[in-house]
Amino acid sequence: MKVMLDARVVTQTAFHGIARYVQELVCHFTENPQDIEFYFIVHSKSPLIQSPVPSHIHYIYCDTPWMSLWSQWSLLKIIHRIKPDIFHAPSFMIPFLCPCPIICTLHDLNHIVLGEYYSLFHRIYYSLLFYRLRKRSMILTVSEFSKTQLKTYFPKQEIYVTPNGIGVEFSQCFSTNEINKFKKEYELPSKFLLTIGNKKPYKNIKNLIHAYCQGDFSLPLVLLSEFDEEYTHIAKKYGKKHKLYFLRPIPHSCLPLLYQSASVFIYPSLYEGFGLPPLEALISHTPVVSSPVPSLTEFLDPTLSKTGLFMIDPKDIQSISAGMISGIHFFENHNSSDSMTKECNMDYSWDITIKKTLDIYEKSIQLYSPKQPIL
Amino acid sequence: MSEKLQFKNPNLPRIGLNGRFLSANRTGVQRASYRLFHTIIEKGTHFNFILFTSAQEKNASEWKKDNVQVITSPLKLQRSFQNYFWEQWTLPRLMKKYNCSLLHNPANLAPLLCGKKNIVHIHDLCFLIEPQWFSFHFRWLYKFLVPKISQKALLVLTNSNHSKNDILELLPVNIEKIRHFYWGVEPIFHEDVFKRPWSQKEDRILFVGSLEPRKNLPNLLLAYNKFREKHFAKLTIVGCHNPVFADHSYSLGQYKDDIEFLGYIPDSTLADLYSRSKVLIYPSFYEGFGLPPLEAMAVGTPVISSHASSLPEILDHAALYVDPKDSSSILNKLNLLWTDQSLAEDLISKGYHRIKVFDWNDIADYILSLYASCLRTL
Repeated sequence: MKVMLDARVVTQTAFHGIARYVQELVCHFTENPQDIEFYFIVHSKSPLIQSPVPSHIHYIYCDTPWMSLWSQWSLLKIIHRIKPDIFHAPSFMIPFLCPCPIICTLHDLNHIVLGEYYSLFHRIYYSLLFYRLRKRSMILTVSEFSKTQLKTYFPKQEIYVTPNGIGVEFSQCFSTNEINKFKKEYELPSKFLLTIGNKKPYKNIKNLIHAYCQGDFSLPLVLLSEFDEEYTHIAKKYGKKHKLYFLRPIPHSCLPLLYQSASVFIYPSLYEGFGLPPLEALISHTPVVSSPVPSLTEFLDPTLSKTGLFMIDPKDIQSISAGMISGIHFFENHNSSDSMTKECNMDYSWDITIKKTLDIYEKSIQLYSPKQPIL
Repeated sequence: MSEKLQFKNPNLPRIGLNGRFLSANRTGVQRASYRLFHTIIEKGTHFNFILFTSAQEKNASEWKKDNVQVITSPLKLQRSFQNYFWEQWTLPRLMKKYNCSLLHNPANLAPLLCGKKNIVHIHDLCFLIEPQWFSFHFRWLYKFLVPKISQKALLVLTNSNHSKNDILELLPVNIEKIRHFYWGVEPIFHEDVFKRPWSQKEDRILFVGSLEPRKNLPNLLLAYNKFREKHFAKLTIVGCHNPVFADHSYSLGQYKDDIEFLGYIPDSTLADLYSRSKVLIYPSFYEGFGLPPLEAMAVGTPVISSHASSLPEILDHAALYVDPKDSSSILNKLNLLWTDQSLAEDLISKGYHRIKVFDWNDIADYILSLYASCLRTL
């Protein structure tokens, strides 16, 4: 069986959940040979490329940008050359004229649900995408929440949930020395509040900054996010511009260190298909103040005591502020060993995701491939 | 320009140091840059340094080390036009001639032609935020050069997180290139001879800074005149007028006999003056770092500072904060400090504690590690 996976979304500096998802898939497929031949479409400078190349892996270099009309053409050319049995699109980017069955992972519906933030081009693109996905394709998603939402657009199709996982590296404990070295390299303050996001409005960083500035927090706020003038303008109004620290992009391997260096992790997102960061932070023994994202509401073991996790209403500045106060209070009065995360067993490994994905590859072959002649 | 280089170990990587600032008066930026160069040369024995500067530094014994060579220029660097010409035109040629891999520019400007070899310090962006505070030619030169230099530079260094946010807002610099670190104070301010308890201090209010609009002298003088209605204290003003800043006027008021202007004074006199004063007042509208309050803290003098820009970040809990726009807030804090000895002593001990963060050895180690990582990426 030939499976083609478009892994161009992984770059040196990509942080979002989708890049992480693809990276995990590719790494697992590379390290554990199956009786499947994998064709990974990568940028020529992609960090995924390993040498020597294992025998069941083929890299196809394609430097066209991720979301472009031109990549429709170049992907199609590649597909015609290789003739894969399945094309796996790990994000929203598919070649519309693809002759083989498509497996597409739709991580969330924020382009539809929060349509007002997107352009006309996006909306046209997504209606075409959904049209194509109704035929000869299978849809994967990452949470029950997204599945329910997708069901309204694909009522006749089965939608499979392959939840994201958390790597083991997040549960490892770092020495004070390592943490201090990391803080020094990235010019971080000794104690700080951390948030992760980007410029997009649904990440709700503006409300967080309002809440942070209105409360009297002595700890600075570190943002692993694109810089936005509006963020510093808000803080300037309250005279707290010096307390916002913008972190330059860090390599993926440093994320566990970052979570562990933080006193409290805050995640005020308005909409997430899964929401990896708060779960990762919890596993890293850091108190979490978060909006109720699927990763916490669906995948956290409900029998666990909820110490160290504070849910907030992200639309309400007061609620964010109160959550931060509780988070800091928890940080000051508990040592990390009695946070809930000690009780967490690693139920979140990527192995489950990989296994389910492989099952779906099998299923799609049975469903869509032409019947093999019997002798 | 035909000096032979005589390094003890000629194979080490060569770092150029832009010493244009050495020809100017030693105020905040120049003093810190001078100390920075000294410490990195002392600690950076695994590099060779070439200091490009004006003629009068040639025989300065302070630069005589195995790993440093001084290259002087025949131009008169005190003259401002020749100064810029030397930096933009001569310096890139010297860099090429002596085969330097990096050029460290500690004072806002760098030769545009050195492009990607530049490591440039941007101390603050006052000339973009409040251009009216500067003279016409200075403002336009900086507005033209600084964005271009910083965009091309290998690294942009700045001295506070606040200034880093300013740079992100106002200059076309990628966040990955910006590093911030804090300056330290000159070692002389740490000497024990200058430490004096509160009770032995004179009734003196000290102000240190160039006489320029952003230092906010008019509001201080208003507050001082009101303060004198109840208490007695002299006001001592240290600092000169510098032609790069716009002219501004202020009235001294009825107690002008108790106000003394000292102009530029050497560090030892300044340290002594800090120790004899009851308070350093620093009501600036904008500062990229703020060296004088830290010097006062090192000596053991309470600080009343403006809460503007990076000052709360640098001074943390060790100072009393005022609103620089409001002279009555300056007056209130002065009254408070004058009448409350325990507050003053608390501030002094907090100041001693705070100053420990700012250490020249750490700074030099950090800068040397930056050189090493830059050389790896070249």
